[in-house]
Amino acid sequence: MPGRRGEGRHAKAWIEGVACSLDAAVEAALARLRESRHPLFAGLGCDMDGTRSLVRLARRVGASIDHLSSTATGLELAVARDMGSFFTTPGEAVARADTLLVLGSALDGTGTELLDRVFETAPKLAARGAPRRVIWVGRPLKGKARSSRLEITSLQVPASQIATLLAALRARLAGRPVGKASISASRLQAVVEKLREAQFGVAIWCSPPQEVLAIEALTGLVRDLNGHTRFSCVPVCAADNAAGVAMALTWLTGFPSNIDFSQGQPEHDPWRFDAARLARSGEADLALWVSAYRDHWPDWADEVPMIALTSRSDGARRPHALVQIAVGTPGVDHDTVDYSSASGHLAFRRATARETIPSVAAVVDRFCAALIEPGKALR
Amino acid sequence: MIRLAGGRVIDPAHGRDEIVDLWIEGARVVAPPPGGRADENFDVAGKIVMPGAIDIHSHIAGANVNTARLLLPEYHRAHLVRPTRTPLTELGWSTIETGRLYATMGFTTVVEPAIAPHTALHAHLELADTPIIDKAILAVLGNDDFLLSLMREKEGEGAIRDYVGSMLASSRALGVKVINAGAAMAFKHNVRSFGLDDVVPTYGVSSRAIVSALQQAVHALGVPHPLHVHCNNLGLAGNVETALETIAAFDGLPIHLAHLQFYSYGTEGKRGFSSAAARLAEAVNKATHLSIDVGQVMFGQTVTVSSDVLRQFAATGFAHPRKSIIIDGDSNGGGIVPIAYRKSSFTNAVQWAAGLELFLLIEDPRRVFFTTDHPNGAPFTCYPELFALLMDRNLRAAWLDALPKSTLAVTTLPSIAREYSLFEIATMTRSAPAKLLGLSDRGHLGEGALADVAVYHDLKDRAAMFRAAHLVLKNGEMVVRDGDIVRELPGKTLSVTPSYDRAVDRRLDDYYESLYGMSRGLFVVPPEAPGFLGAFEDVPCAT
Repeated sequence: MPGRRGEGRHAKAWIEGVACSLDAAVEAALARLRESRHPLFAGLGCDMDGTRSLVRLARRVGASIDHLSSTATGLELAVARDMGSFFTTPGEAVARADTLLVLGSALDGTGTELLDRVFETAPKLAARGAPRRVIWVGRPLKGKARSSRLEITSLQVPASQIATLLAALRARLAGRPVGKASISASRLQAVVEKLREAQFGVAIWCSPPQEVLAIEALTGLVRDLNGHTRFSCVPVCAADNAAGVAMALTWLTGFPSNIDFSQGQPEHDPWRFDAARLARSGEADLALWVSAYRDHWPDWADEVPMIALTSRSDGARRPHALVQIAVGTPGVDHDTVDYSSASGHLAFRRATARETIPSVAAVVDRFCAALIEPGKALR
Repeated sequence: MIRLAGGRVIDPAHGRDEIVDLWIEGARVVAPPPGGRADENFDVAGKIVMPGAIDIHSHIAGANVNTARLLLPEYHRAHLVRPTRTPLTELGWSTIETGRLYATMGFTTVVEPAIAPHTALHAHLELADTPIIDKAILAVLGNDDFLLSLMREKEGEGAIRDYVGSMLASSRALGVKVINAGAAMAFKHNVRSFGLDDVVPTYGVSSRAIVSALQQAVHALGVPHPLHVHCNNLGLAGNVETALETIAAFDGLPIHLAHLQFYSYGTEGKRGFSSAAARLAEAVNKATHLSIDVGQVMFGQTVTVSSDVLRQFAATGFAHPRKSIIIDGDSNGGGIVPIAYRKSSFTNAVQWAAGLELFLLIEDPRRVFFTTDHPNGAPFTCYPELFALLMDRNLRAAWLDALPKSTLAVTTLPSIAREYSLFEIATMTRSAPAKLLGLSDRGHLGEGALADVAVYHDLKDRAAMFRAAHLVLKNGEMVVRDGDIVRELPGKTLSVTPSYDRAVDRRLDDYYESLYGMSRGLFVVPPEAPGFLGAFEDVPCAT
């Protein structure tokens, strides 16, 4: 495809651990794809172009597809899907939020970055002139929160108690009595008042799958707060472009994850189309593993024949892979569009060290070119 | 060279309705070659030949639409063991199905009318994944701090024009839409209702002033499509007054009012809810600066996807199923609220009747467009049924019979005898939208026109006729035969690049750094972003 980014003059590839040309690796992978009765595309740690190319290929070969973070992303989306929600953006949280409700139990990595931004800045568009209020629920404060001069209320409770605490806040907001809660009744009431006084509040979290109940309770609390004032949510998304991949899969198939194309039209089932299950059960006879952001392998890597498109890292060759092709890091080796946790939207980033090895899309497009007649209507 | 031989060519832009051969070379319509021989000859005698249809207002892509897909997997046909055949389940939901379904009906260009500039890149990726048809977006402005601050500080028309020019360029849009001007910002300040003369808190700027400023800016930039307006007070009983005021307020320059059906409600009758479409149609007939689209309601399950976040929040209590997503976006908003329009509902029946009244009482088919505000009034796959209703008074009478009798007392629909002709349908779906959007080589079949052509069987059942075209050519290539997709080529996305003073770009760079701590570059759509070059096609502005 003309203009595709990162064509790759310095490709590195291996067949069964032995270095080879990119052409030879592509041919060997194609032979496997043609033979496979049920291929699995997993990992999916790639940018938007990579995802779109993989879906094109999956439609052609009838593959199942599953992102490595689909369990966490899927459970989180399931809450919004089952009960609705309120969402805002990191930009609005920075510029407008006078009150932050932070579920701090699992925030790290990308989550810390957003929290540092909101802790270091003043909300320039906030109606209320006072410093930001922070209500921090869960583990002890980390990073800049501790040292900042914000008005912080810290509610340290074990992860298992977060949902109960949020439910108690919700009950008090509605003026209903609360039995036993992990904090005192007066403290509970003080927090409710702070939430009610928010003119534009934002709840921030990064949820591991075991905290679905907490996210559900939080979503209900935010919904009720909007009866009085304005409050919304910013979930901090998993790494490996999980949010971007879920977006692209949704517009291409109607579903965010765990999709299968073997019946012609896309089907969705979190259990049937779970990568680890498909690999371990032998239902899938070939895996195409994609991890362009980091050198990362699934723990079922040796349980199914594998073609791997992995981030370049010296000596990362995996002898058990049938075919391995090193792919560029999005935004480093080639221009990219992927999810920006800074903006909460898809964004374009120019390569910082252009075109040394091919992008996921460039490799997968070679598969597509060999398997799909241009313009052919797929079904 | 292709010849479509012996069809009835209906080409309103050239006043043609005649049996004639149509010749195509490459991507263009050409004059019949002297002694001409075609490489491919299609006998279309007895068939109807029209330009490819153009939809000016259909929510087919972008962050809000994608959120609707996420929210409602239960209406995806692949999700159901035994899918019900409702328009929503037939929709397919994906970008791929969207392109294919539109093409099957003979549509070749579709405008997604509500994209927040910050999510434009997302929308353009979706559109690039919408095959066959050409696309465009309208950029939603009017709720952003930058613009409202320019107005508060009285920086003048030039500053606003440059800002609008910059936003059109950075989001690669075909035009500008304003949605309940100022209300998304007011909602962030906990305002719960917002009319034409209400003022955005802390900015002191009224909704009326925002619409007026944007209308002038769009005109000054020479953007072919006039400002596309979603008025205040959508969906409320008595809101016809808002629509009439809006029509009267912005009469100096061209303007387009979207989904007017949702503003055609009076307060008459026992229930205080009635169709005021006849009054509204009369006002539209007199206001020659104005074009409108209808936003027809059809019955069945659908989902409302709107950037009118204040209105959508108010509607969450009526959600069916009972779940909604409300979004406070950067400088914008959005709400996803599912809804079921029921034949047994008095309110829904009045909405249905009011839409048809607008179609039938607005006299000039060049100023009224056929939308269902997809998917808000109904999915776009309902267009064939809608065209059939417009063309057949007996069919309308049959539908009316199935509605609550109380509906008849508050609508003029039973008294309207008008039936649209094929020529009028072609005007409304082909020549008029091309003109409204400034697409000079589309919507007609004259020499040099883009060879986007739809050929239909001339069936008595007009719904069946328009549901599955006999042949569709896109850029001169056969893409549909007998209702089946035969080629799935990528389409293009149309956008304008108006001239403006680039100094505003540097000012915006500083603004983004200062307010959000982010680079403005995160929100700019470069031409190569959809993943292949040539994804965009420029539509010229007046100079």
